Amino acid sequence: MNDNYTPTEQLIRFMDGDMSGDEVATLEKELAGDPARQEELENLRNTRMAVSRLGLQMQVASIHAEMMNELKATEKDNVRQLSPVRKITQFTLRIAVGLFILIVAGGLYQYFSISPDKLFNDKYAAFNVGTSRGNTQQSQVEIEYAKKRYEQVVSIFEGIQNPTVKDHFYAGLAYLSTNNLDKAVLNLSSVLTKNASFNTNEFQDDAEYYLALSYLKQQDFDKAVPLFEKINADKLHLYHDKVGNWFLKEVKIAKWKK
Amino acid sequence: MEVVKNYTDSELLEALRSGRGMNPVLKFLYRQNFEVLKVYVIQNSGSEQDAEDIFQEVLVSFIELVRLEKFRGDSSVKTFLYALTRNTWLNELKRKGRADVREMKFEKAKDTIDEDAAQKIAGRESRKQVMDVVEKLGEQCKKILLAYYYEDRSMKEIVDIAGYDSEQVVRNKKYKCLKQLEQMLTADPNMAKTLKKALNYE
Repeated sequence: MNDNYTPTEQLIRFMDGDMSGDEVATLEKELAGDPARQEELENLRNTRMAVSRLGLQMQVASIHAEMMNELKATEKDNVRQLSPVRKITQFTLRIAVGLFILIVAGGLYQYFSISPDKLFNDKYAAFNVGTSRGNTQQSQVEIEYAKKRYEQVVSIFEGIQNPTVKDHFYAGLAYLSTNNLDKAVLNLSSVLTKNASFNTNEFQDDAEYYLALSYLKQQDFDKAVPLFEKINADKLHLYHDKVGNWFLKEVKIAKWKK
Repeated sequence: MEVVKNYTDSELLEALRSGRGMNPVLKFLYRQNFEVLKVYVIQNSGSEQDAEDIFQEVLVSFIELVRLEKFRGDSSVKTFLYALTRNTWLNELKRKGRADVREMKFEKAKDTIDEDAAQKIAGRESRKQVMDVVEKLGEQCKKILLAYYYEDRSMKEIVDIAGYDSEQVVRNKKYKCLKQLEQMLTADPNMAKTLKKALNYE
């Protein structure tokens, strides 16, 4: 053992690995029987570890500051890069939400505003005698109907013994105009029945359309819907343009509401 | 421009054990883990500043555990850092007397964690005590001891760094500084015990 060193210096040299093999062996023997020196060595080692920790903390702290700058800059870059995309996304979403709200609001308005009376009023227009098809010979019923004297039409019709298809048709329209729906349905149906029996087609399309409207006003959707569907499906039907898909949907909504 | 290097777990551990090329390793650890762990702290009643403080402490502890061979590598480095963050932040919340600690959002780790090592992370108080001991040394003492024990510099280099006349003067100064610290510990066995426990993760 080198006696030029104090006992603590020897422990430090031992801890730092500065001793020769012989010195290490001698010191280890001394330490084995000396708990106080063992404790001193342990304290020195812990001191060295504490210093190392301080060094490590300082190194991490210096990197920390640098990395915070880098990570925050990266975050800003990402936000900046994403901004146009986000803006477009937000804009698109807003439009989609706006449209959705409009559609829902429109749907709700439609749902609550639809009624058989409204649908009837939208589609009903008094039959124009001038456009009548079939028999060109004007009957008394037809003349009175053209003058819109519906009570007269009914009165004359009820006095006819054997009404023709045309009589039934104008009587049906007159009953419809005076809101006598049961008789309107009866006479307009007679037009269809007689045409079927006589294999004729007199006022066929007109009777179908006004009969469907009569059922609609009666809220008899089970009979109205098939007739409207038939008119809607038949492109050659005289009233095809009046019974579009949208109207058909509205009738079905009214049926569902009922 | 700095080249960003990626490390496998084993490369990373090897670099930390050797202490060589530490800065790129530390940066890699920051890039890979900080944001996720920051979110964890913030989600559990912490602030951004808390997250920064905790992450620094976690890194120091992680490196020391690796060097003490107390991280066995049963889990990935990422998972282990998560566990360390969780325990460090939990300790901190307990220290602050937060009642809602039980409500912390503990995510179940998908792989096994070196839970023993992660649990032994010292509280902030103990770590502060360790640093208080070292801080009691003067600036020159810290400079010499850090250069010798942390930066692994030779006596000749320290002569230049610390501005002394000779290696012998530095050697004497280093001895006095160590002796001063050692005497503080000898005089206060409780502090010595706390220091030992905190430094060795016991």
